[in-house]
Amino acid sequence: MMALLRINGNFVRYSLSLAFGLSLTTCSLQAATTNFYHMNRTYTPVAYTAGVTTVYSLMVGLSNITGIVKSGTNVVMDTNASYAVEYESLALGYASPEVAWYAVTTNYSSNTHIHSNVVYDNTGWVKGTHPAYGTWGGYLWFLENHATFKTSPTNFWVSPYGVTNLIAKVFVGTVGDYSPATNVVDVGPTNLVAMTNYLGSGGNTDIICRADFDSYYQLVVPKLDVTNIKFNWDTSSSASDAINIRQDYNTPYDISAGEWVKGGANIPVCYTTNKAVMIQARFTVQPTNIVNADVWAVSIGTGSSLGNVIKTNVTFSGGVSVPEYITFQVSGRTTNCIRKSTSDLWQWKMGNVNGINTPATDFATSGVHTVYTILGEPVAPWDNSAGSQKNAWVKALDFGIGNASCNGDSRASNALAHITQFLHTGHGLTYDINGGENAYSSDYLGGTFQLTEYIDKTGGNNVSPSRAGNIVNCYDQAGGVFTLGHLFGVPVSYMFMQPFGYINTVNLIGEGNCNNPFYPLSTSGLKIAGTNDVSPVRKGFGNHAFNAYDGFIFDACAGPSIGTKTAAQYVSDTVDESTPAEAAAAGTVANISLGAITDIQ
Amino acid sequence: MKQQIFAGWIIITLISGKCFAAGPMEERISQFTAAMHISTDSQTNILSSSHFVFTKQPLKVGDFQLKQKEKKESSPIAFIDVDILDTNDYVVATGRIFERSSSEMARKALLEKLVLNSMMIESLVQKYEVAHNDIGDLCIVEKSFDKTARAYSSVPLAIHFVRGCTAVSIYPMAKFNNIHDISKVLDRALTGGAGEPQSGK
Repeated sequence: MMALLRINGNFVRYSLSLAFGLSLTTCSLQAATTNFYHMNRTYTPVAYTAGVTTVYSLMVGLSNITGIVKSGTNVVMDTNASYAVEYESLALGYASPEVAWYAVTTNYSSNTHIHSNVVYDNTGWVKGTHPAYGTWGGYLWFLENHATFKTSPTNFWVSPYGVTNLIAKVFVGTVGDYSPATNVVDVGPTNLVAMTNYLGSGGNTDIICRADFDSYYQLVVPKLDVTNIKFNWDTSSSASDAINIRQDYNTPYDISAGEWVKGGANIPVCYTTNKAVMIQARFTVQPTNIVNADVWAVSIGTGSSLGNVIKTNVTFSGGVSVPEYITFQVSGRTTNCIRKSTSDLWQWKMGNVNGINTPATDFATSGVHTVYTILGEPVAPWDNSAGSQKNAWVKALDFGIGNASCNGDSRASNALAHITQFLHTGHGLTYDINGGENAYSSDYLGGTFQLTEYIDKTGGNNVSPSRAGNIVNCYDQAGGVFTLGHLFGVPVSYMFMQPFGYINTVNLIGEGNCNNPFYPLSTSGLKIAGTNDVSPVRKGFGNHAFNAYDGFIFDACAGPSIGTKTAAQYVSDTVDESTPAEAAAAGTVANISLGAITDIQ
Repeated sequence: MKQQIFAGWIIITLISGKCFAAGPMEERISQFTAAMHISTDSQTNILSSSHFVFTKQPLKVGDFQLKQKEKKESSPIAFIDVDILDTNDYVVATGRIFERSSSEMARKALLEKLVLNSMMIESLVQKYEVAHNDIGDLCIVEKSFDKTARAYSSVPLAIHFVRGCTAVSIYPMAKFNNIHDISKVLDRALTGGAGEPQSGK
């Protein structure tokens, strides 16, 4: 009854005349091409209409980007598994059109013909009723595709420029929306009501329709964020991370969520020199079907202290990194000198999202991270145990690195020289010429050092009555050098010498050249008295405190002595024993004993 | 048995008040006390005394009030700093009080304070003078230096005294303030009742 011929995927229908005068005329091959099953939708390229390029127009243009692209490959049709089914039914000689139509619709499904390995572009139906010789006839024919296809070859799409993107969803023309790389069997057309409803007496219709299998990909636009970074992630050890620090004696840092929190905390960190270190970072990602990605960071700050963050594959679950904090190696080593940098900025990058070789993409920056570097872990009285008030203070680090100009010092002796020079000349301190009393060190051998007040020059409470905060004695100065040296990990010693004696002319802290340190209480009243004068014309030191490191003397009170002299040279140069009276009061290196700052406040 | 003898020796040493270790400061104390002719016999002329009992309110002592400024309790440098106010509530002097468990320790605290500096002992001897007055078991006056005469004057820069287990240093806020009288009042308070907390302030 019906001639079927497959030509280029079109089911060719020829017009035919029925024996009883039922004449149906099909449309041409090109006719009715706008009919689609299952839905009627189209995709239109987004045109840039935001006008001349301005920031605003770019934002408008960006907001129009849908992330949907033409697949280029369409679906992968499995012709071996696809087929079409032709249904056909004819009823003649019925008393009414209704009865004839009823006969047609109850029988069409038993008259089928299967066309294997084909999907037709002109499926549809032809139906109607018609009178003939006083009776009524009816006719129903329709053709239905069973298309088997895979929505996309893979779950990623490579752009014309070679950029790999993850596919979130595949929109298959008029057929439906699917996950990528999913096998689908689609049957259509399926609107049986339209195919089998009664059109009325003598009514007929001819519908041609097809499915649009052109596919479009909704691409995944991964939104990865670094939310927290921990530099001091192991507070019980600093073998490969930052040391425990606090703001000052009274103010701890809360680093439970890391030193850097996106949009929140940005706490300084402190490392020791020449150390390979690791950091830990937490990430969030959207959409949550991203389960892993390569993540790394490039140091983009000029003059930064830390290197790049080495690429690491991060696993995600529910949109959060697993484990929550991922450990990353930082390339290279920490700087080789004492340093404070405020330029560490990391450009975070991701790639290979879900293992599909997606390209490197910037996704966030972190910083600017403030990084201190010191020569070694602070030594007593500093205490590196987590939570101790004697963890390294940023206040003290700034004082030593910034004020004392230790920035860039790679050798302990250089750092001590800078500290000594600064405490002697740069901190605005002056010697207690009226009593030689200590204000900040509690004891002649050091004891407790009131570092906070020493830095602030607010006056230590060791001295009574209270006096100007910039007045110190040698115990204070030796305590200052000791404390700051130990902060930088340099175990400089506290030395106490008694008796000391009359001094040759030295630069006495805050006083300048002087050989009469208590000159206001001397009968001469001169800073520089006669070189052979003794008490009461000229006063000497009953004792004196200073520092030693690696066999060399540092004196931030008188001199200053900045590590260029041995103890013997220092004593010889400083103590005046040129007359018997002076020699009688003079001490020697044998009179030097060891002290220490045992506590800080 | 040997151990018992050793322990007994320590106790005897402690009681005799000759237990200072021979460190540099102890050496200075010895030199200072010898030069100043300060008796090391702590039992000499010691009257019974009490401590000042400070509260948040100023402590009324004679015509003065003692207002605690700072208290440092960590041994061995425990002290209480006070302001001393007159009847008009003016601070006329400041003071530092060392309260110790024995008169020996109080005396040591004061002497340590006086020698804890880098001056020569000879200079300290010129600076201080033992006052044979009715203040304290031991009273040492710190003399001021007259820069015109280029010599120490009789005007006290400070008065330091020990009464029982308490050592007190008094410093005038102005040169003309009579810290002798203040010291006397405080000493009397220590021997006869260490003041009473003020009410209503």
